[in-house]
Amino acid sequence: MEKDQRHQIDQWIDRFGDVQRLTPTPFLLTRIRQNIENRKTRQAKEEKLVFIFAALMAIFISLNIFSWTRLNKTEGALASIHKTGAEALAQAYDLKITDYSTALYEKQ
Amino acid sequence: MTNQPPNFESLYEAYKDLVFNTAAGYVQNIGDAEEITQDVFTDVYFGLENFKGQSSLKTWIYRITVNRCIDFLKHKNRKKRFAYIIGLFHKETGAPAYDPPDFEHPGVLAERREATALIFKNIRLLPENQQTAFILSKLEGLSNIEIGEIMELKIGAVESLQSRAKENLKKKLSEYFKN
Repeated sequence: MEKDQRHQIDQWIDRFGDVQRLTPTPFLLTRIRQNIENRKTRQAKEEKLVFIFAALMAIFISLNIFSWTRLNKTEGALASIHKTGAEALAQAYDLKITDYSTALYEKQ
Repeated sequence: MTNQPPNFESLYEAYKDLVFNTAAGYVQNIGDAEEITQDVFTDVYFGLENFKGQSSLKTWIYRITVNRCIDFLKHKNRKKRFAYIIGLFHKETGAPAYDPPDFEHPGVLAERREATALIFKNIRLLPENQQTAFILSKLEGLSNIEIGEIMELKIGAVESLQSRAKENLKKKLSEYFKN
């Protein structure tokens, strides 16, 4: 009995492929075309979004660079004032500029 | 459609049955197989520009089909698990959460309908790569070399997958006889 069963199972598996080929509905091509159009529209929207995002990033980066440059200029101006003050102090106490900090400390 | 590649329709005519039948073998539902066929040809349309001809067009289309089918089944299984969890909270109906009906392949002779439905049901239980090797070999009648190209495996590996698939199916089917 078991041998018969095994034989039958083997036959089932061997013959499993003997099926008639199926054909999809003739309307499928129309649906595929619609699918393609939908995906094109979606892609166009995505591209637009990416473009907007890139433009916003560019504006953000430019603004950052602008403010960084301004900050640098301000820092430069402050440094120059600081240097002038240091030179004046150094002269008054007859010190080298590098000794300014020490002099300031001692003065306090 | 104006920007459509000129050969798309002929491509569809040449490969629609191949895609549809492979998908039907995997998902065991005509409606789902049509949905997959749609997606595959949409992918083919958009991928045609980048197709470098490293494999034959047929192999490439088979590969897209197999991947689409596997993705579809994974998605369906996720939904199935979710439905099962939901089902735990709706026990009063007593109905199983999700149990796909047996696939009645329209192209099977009446006397082999039961056996084929049973094999289809058990194919679902095989691991993904065994399913692919079995379906491509049995339903599509591809050679091991072709299957190897599609699955990007060596022939030895394909043979091993097929024999393991058969063994597993035999085990499942003998359980059916016992019951």
